[in-house]
Amino acid sequence: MSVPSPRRTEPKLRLETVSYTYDHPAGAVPDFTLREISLALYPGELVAVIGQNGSGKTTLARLCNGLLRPTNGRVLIGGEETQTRSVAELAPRVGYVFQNPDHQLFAPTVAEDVAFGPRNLGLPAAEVERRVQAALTDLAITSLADQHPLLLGYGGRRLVALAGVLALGSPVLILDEPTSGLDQASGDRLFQVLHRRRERGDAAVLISHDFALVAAHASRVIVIAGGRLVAEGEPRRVLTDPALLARAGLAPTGLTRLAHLLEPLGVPADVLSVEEFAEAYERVYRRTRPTSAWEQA
Amino acid sequence: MITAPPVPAGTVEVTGLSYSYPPTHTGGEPVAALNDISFRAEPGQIVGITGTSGAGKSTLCLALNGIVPRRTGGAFRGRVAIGGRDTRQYEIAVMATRVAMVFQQPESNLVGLSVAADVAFGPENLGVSPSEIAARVTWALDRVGMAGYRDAAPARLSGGQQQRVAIAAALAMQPAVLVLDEPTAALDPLGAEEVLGVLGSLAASRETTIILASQDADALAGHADWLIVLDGGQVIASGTPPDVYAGNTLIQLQSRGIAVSAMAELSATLNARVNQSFAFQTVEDAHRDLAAALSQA
Repeated sequence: MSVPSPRRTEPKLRLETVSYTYDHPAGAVPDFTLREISLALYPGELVAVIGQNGSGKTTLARLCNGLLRPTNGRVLIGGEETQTRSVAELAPRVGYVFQNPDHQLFAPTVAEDVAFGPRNLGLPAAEVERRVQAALTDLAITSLADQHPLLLGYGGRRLVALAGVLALGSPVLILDEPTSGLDQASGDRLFQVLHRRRERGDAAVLISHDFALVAAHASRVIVIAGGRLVAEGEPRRVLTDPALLARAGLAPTGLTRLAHLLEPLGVPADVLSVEEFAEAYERVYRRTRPTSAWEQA
Repeated sequence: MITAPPVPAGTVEVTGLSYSYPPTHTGGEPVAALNDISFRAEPGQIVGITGTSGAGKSTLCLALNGIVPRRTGGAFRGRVAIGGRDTRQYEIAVMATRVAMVFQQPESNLVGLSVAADVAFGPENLGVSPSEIAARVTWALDRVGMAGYRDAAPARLSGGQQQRVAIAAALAMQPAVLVLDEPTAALDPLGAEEVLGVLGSLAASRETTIILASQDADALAGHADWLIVLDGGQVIASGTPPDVYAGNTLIQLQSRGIAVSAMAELSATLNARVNQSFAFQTVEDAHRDLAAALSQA
């Protein structure tokens, strides 16, 4: 995939030692949900955030799009502080896909729902229509255009919510578990769109428990535990390190567990996909059984 | 007179079920959702329902407790029977005591200020006596391993714990059938394992029939006794997970964009590369078989 390497210039999104607490009881020590998080999202990047339920991932996402304002520290979108902007002003710059699609669906038809965002940006009707069609086509849900969004199944509702955010065309997307409840093909279509947009310099934050998805698509992984950023690195380094994951209360995938179990026999422990595993295993297999090629011939 | 042997209260019989939602607007077409579905599930079984987004999984779940077609209208053909009784003969309130539903978002299942209040909510609405409610709450929380959290605030629990409380709340209705629609989609992997472990122990008690709609092929491979794969409202495959996630069926599922379990995909990929016929479904089996194949040299 030809995504531009991050130009180390202006990040699309920057968090500077951000802390957040939902409650400030007078006189009490605040219970911080996030503590001193710093990160920068550069053009073309797709940064995955992983962590347990309750580790602060969703709070982080809501700080990134201005739904929440930091208790301490600063969040900058395109160089501007979210503190000084309304959510409506920020929406064209940061699109946010909620984990629960029912939080963002309300119109009587799918097409109306998807049109709501771009229409509110004040775009001309023809451009709104073009974006709606493009988003429905990209996610292969044009056949749902006239249906009522809330009559769709969970996966269908998620696709409509995703289409609505794609139609906004925001240069930064925050995706909270975007593929949960989606079939494989729908998830693949979503990431085709995301990668096309990365090529033009857009960036995304992907919050997901699905490590196979993160391995396949993320350029960088951030690990959150107890509201703190506890590790950061390339997917291969982070996702294939069971000890690092365990410190954040996370477990590796079955494939990584298997690779570690077979490491003493020569299978590398850091394979990230079924394809990589199969290739590595075949090498070891051919080495251990040099005659098998003859047997097959 | 010949009487049929009694059908257990938890027996689910779906026979020739076809269903279309009513048109979304005046003069529109009905929206076909299910086409000639038949299957049977017995107490003690976990029957998994999987397939593409929009394949009809959620509609099928709603047909099991009679919401489809009693609330949704539309065209319903065939028969759905719980414990030998046709769902269309019952009021939804009566069905709710036989077939309990759990949805993907724990917070949409939880309403109370404490865990115990949440679990008591359903039976309270049925007019069950306070002493009976107290007994049910204790019993249900015990069944999901949450007995120590009676007084906790649901909002403070982890996702896996919240979903276990949601299952306890469903169990407090003493249903014969438990239907779960994507119950682990919003959970981290450890939380998902907690929930699946609870379902396994419920099934082992043989008191409840469990219907589990999910896109998580690894969860289904590890926990379902029987799988039903839907595409476009039709059953395209059914069988035990080792049968469905193997051979030609596996290839068919992949070609339709339906996720297959990682271990099944790995065994199929390896079989194409080396002269073996692996058919493992779990990491432990994969470890055993792959190590054995290397040591046969």
